[in-house]
Amino acid sequence: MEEREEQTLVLELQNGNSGAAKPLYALNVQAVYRAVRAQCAEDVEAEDIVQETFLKAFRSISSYRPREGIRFLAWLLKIASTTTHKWIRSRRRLDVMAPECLQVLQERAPPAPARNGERDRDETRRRLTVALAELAERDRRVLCLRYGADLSAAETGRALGLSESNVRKICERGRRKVLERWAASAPEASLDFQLKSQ
Amino acid sequence: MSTQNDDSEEAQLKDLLAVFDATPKQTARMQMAIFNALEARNASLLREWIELVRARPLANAAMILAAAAPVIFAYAPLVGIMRQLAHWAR
Repeated sequence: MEEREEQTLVLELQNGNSGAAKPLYALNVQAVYRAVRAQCAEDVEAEDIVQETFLKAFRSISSYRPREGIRFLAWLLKIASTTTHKWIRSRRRLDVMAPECLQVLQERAPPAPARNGERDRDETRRRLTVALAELAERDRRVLCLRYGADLSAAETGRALGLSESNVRKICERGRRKVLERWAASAPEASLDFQLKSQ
Repeated sequence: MSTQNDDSEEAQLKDLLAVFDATPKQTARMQMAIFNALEARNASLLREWIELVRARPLANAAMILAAAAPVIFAYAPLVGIMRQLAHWAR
């Protein structure tokens, strides 16, 4: 139902009804933001990339062609992936996944004045960013689109120019690695490690 | 068994990645920036075009004639033939 509604909105926008842009944004922003944010170090950077993605998408909406089994979201995330890649390279921003930045992230303590819930969330984000950074850039992108934006393997492949079977392989290998790294970075895990090594 | 493991790993990773969700404030902020930029662009395109027409009326007239040239050349022989036919008919 939602997919059909979305296709109707896309058609309206292609026919010049600019009022269809806001509901399209509302339907997709969360998935796009989640996938992009998982590849960035800071909220501000992710917000800029998401804004640029939607602007590009709305400006070039006439070039969008719907395909069976591929949602509009996959097209948006294709733009988002290119934008994320270009953004980091062209602005010569610090690549958050570079080893020196990872070191900073790993050592960074959670900010003290934050409330308990926020502190937990920040800590989870920090650990997850570090765990994702263990992956190669392409694998990280695949995982962020497949699990962050909840695309199917076919849609992820379409967005990133990979075959469906390749996406499945990358996902299987990648998610195991991330979850292992995630479990190992838990505070209890490091305590266990310290006790065992004594 | 392996499929069950895969499913549970997938669900676990999806749950974890939900920590990167945008807050309602962020969603609203991005929306405002996107739609303001779109409106500003539309307005500036129109303004730019009006300014261009005002600044160089001759150059614009020439451009319009150049754009219309293929149509004029395509229909000119047809008009000639019609005139000749009308002449013979008289």
